Amino acid sequence: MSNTDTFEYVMPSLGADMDEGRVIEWRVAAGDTVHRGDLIAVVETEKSDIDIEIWHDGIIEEFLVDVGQLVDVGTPIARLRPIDASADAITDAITPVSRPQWAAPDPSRSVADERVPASPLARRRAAERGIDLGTLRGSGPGGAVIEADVAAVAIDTPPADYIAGLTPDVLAVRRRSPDTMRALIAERMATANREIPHYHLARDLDVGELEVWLAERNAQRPIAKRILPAACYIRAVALAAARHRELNGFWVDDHFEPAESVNVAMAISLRRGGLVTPQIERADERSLDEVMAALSELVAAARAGNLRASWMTGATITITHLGDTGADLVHGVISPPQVALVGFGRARQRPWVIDGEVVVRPIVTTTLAADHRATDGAIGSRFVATLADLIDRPEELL
Amino acid sequence: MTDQLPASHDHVELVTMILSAIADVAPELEPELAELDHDIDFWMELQLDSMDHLAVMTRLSEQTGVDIAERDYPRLTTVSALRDFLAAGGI
Repeated sequence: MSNTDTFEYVMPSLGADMDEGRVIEWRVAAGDTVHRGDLIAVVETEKSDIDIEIWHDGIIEEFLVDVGQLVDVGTPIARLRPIDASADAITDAITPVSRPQWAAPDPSRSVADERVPASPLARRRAAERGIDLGTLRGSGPGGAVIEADVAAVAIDTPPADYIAGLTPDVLAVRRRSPDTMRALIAERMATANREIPHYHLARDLDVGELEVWLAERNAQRPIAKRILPAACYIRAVALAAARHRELNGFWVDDHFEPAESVNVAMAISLRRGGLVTPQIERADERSLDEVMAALSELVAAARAGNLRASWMTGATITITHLGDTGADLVHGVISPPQVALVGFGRARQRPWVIDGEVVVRPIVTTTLAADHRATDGAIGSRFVATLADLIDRPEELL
Repeated sequence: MTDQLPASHDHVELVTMILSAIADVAPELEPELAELDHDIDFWMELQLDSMDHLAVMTRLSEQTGVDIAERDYPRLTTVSALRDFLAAGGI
């Protein structure tokens, strides 16, 4: 890193459970100008092939790994130079990252970080979370990075020690396993069950109102614009999580850190086995139509193995929806470092009492699995009540 | 968007279209499609979920120009029923 007018793009960590990956295709060529958010390569991980995005504007100078070469997370894979190639321009060329990847700490980076003026607390907080100080715009004296600058981007970033916390023997077992996704799920769920004291709440929801409302709306729409109940559940969970922020965030360093946005992950089962949990960012701020479009895109991409890196990180709460043919309810396992998982069972016709009369209504049982370190049942119960209220008044989900 | 098919569209061609739509949405099921019984509930048989259902129906509607209303879904569970529905232009 002696050449200060270039910078390196490292193999990103595409989730807390990834420690290595291989570039299987470059989407750009040397000399290309790239902008933040551009897809630059396809990376093969143990789970799936993922399109990776670049977070800095720049011009590709050279690739540092060969296609097909397996490298650890944090390994520089491409060298870029700023679009404005003057030597001093590098800090400005690197846009502050509003939603950083869960980058594992890169030991070689600490040398570069020494050059960035920063307060000791900011330096420590950034190191804890694997954030490159060079990507931050300092608001302290002389442009120094202060703790608030780190906090502004750190909120959705699980700390590096969580990622680093996967023990070597677990990783070794994983590498030997013929079914790596199974092993990955086994490892994560074992961690979750070992470390998270779960509590579980359930409530039966009468989805009759929602079904009638959806049927009426969908009858007036072309087939490609129709809304599925799953999109309504995502909206309801997002709005409920926005009102009960204690369930929307991460358990890190023995305390709860609320997330600044509501990013709802959806467990999507893959027919060849296993599941992935891509997220819909800021689902509380999107319309029902937008959430439905995002869901369709995620499911198609998940099943085709074309997930984008930004979908795989940053989830603040997760939904598991069992569909209409399986079980009535799920007592879920939380995906750490999140603190809540919301389940929806199948809709079934059940006797139900309305105004003292027994009637037959479509019932869906919703469940909440929550981390007892972060919240108590009273908060979980209020969340479930909000959810029920939203499902009862579906126009609020628009 | 493709041209609308005539109502008397060839049954064999429609079956091919239905099976291709399923294969598009769920490529890993392709080997099973050749042996699929056309008179059983294939959504259940192939474990297709509501997202797959919507994706298959959207493709078929776009390819044939036939509107498939939600109220028709419950009777469109077999390949034969879907074929007849599309052949009749959605009646």
